[in-house]
Amino acid sequence: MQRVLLVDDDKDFTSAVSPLIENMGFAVDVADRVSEARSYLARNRYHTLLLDLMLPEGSGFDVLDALPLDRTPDKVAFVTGHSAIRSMVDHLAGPNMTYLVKPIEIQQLQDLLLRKRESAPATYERHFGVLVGESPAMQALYDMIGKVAQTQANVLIQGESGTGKELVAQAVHNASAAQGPLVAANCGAISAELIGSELFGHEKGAFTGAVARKPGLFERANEGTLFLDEVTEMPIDQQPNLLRVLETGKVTRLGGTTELDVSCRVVSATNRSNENIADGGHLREDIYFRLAVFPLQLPPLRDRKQDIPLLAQSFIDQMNEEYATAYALDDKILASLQSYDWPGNVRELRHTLHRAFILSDRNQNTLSLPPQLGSPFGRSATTTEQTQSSDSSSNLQAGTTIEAMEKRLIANTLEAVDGNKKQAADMLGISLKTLYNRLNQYKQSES
Amino acid sequence: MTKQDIHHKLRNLMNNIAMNAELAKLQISQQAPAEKILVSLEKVTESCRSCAEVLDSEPHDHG
Repeated sequence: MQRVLLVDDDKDFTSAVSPLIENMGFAVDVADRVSEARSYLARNRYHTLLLDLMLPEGSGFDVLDALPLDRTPDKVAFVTGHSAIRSMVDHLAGPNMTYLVKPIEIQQLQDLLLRKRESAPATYERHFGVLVGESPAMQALYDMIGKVAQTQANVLIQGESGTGKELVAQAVHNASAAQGPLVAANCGAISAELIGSELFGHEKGAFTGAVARKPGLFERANEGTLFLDEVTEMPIDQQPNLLRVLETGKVTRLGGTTELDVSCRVVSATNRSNENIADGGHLREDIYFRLAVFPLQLPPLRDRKQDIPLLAQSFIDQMNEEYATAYALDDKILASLQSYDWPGNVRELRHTLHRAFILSDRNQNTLSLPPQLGSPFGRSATTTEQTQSSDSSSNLQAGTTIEAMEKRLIANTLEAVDGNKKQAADMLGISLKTLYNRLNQYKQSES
Repeated sequence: MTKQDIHHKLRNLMNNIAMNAELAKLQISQQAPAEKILVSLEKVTESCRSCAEVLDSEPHDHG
């Protein structure tokens, strides 16, 4: 999903415009000061940067000055109440630089963020603004989301990798009466040393490098929803601290002495099965019962193949919109997509279509699927055969690069441990962070 | 406040009115709970009140 960075210190504006932009299909990060914006820009690449002119600690131009060259957003727009902005922005070079004078209209935002296209209205519904699919399994899921959203109960989402757990968390948030934001974090991607500071925040000087006070995820999600992805990868020694916050609704920043009241729904997710959670010792029993007040099980894509045409159409619509193209899906392609088992689930479907989109002839508006569907992480009969043959020493041919062998080794190990990244990292003798870095690297080189 | 300050404040408040009204429309179309929609609409009326306060303030244009 493409990202928008909104830099503005007017919270009434940012809290209203963020969900509007999210509804246009973007993920939104909000920064209310120059240093925070710089920090976001150093970590992510953005489709659009929406920038207020006057900010605490400086101006929007100070944010522009710090833009990393390799992460320049596709579009930059100043959004300000100063009508003198016109003459200021006219001095700046670049066709992708523009300005919006407050009060702005939703149409102006749509024109900025989305290319206009002339296409038929969508033939699918986005349930709760994010979920696509009409299969019985999804209907049952929508029913449960609707029910749990009316309560404050914590939700544990279980499902295979790529089934859309983060979107379901977003759906629960959208359907709820929560007034605060949805704040997401991946417990598997935060180092053991930093997870306490990330979750609970810290005071200035709490530890070496804590140069300023930082609110934790619980504080940021106050009155809203905290989404903890891969919660079973959280270090076991940190879990009692999490339990305490869940039980008392109070959080103390690291190095702090004051207890702060926090009220948010915790939606957590894992791709581990119930048996694996119970037997593997990944989650304390008391934590499990606090997090899984209402468990939601997501169906794998192979169990709802009738949703593949709707999902495929929604992805193609997004890509057509983004690149101003008009590709269509024909029956042959849909039949081909429905005949595959999609071990990587909806994520694999989306990436396959993206790859097809890149490879297709733009003059003909017809998509060309790769000759054989599958990925290094696939577990279908076809890919398994390939993986087994690649295991044999006869396949260690001279001329294979170490990088290619490393990629194959990581894929095989992940497959052997059923996608469990922590276990795979242990087996490979590398840190979990290194494993994530490698997987991100492969993902980037594929796209 | 100078006239320029007043214009700037009013533009920001009108912007909050526009965006929260758009948010309420979106929430209604997504069948969001009434409490959520009411908060968005409350922000609209709150900003309208603030507009009135700014308009009542006397401008001191030094320019």
